[in-house]
Amino acid sequence: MDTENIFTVQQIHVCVTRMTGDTPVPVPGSDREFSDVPYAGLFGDTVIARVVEEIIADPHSVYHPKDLEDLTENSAPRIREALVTLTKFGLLKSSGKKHPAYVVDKSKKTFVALTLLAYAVLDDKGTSDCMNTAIRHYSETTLNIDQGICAVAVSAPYRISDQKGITGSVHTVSTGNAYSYQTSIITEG
Amino acid sequence: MTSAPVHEDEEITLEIVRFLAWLKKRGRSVKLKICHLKWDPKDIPIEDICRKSARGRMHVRRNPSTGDKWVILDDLVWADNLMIDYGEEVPHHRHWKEL
Repeated sequence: MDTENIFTVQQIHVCVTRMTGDTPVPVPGSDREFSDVPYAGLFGDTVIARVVEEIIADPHSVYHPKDLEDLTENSAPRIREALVTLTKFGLLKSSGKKHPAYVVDKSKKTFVALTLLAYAVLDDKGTSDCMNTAIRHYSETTLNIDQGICAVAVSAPYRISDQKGITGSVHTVSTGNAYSYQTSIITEG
Repeated sequence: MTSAPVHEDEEITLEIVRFLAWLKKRGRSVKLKICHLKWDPKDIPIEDICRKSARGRMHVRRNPSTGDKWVILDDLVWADNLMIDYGEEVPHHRHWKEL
């Protein structure tokens, strides 16, 4: 069999950023009931993951750096760094320069996705169905997607007569349509 | 803008539902110390909730390894239903606000 070189492999250099954080990530299957590692360790036990988990879990509060230092048990410089990053990403909005306060921008899709991720992680640890429940509710309330099936049918009697006016027996004819629909889209099937 | 839900259990308030949502999104178990730090300023009586309105659905348990007390949410379906009622499943800027 003839062979042909279709690609070559070259060595490339990859920059790796060392993750911050001190606590080792738990091995899946260990005692999860008493674990406070964010997102079950999916992103490691990093400061930014802890801040993200906290603000996603309670998106209504106004956060000051000191609150997050206490809640995530991390130092002020690391929290500041995480807050700057999350503000750059648009997940947080800040106000005040000397003593900044932060609120979650709930209109961001990142916020919605991370909320669903929190449920997904919980579901994968056990047998719950929180993510699908949230997606269904979100589809109905925010995306206004309301799916359903509708069938409409009518029937009418008729009689056929010839040119001399002699009529035949009564017949019934029926017609119907089935629709599958979303709120604003109707397709005839 | 929809109106605030009227729930059968009058002991359940919007702030309690937000506490349950927070607990759930933090993996259903959080150290009691952290719960107090976060929710005491909002007047959420965590142990009272475990004993009364969330009896059998949420409990405080000691970690046998460290001795720390943890709050554990057991009934996720109950929490889901409350969160749906109060629009807290995926909160967004169009939801109602309590006056």
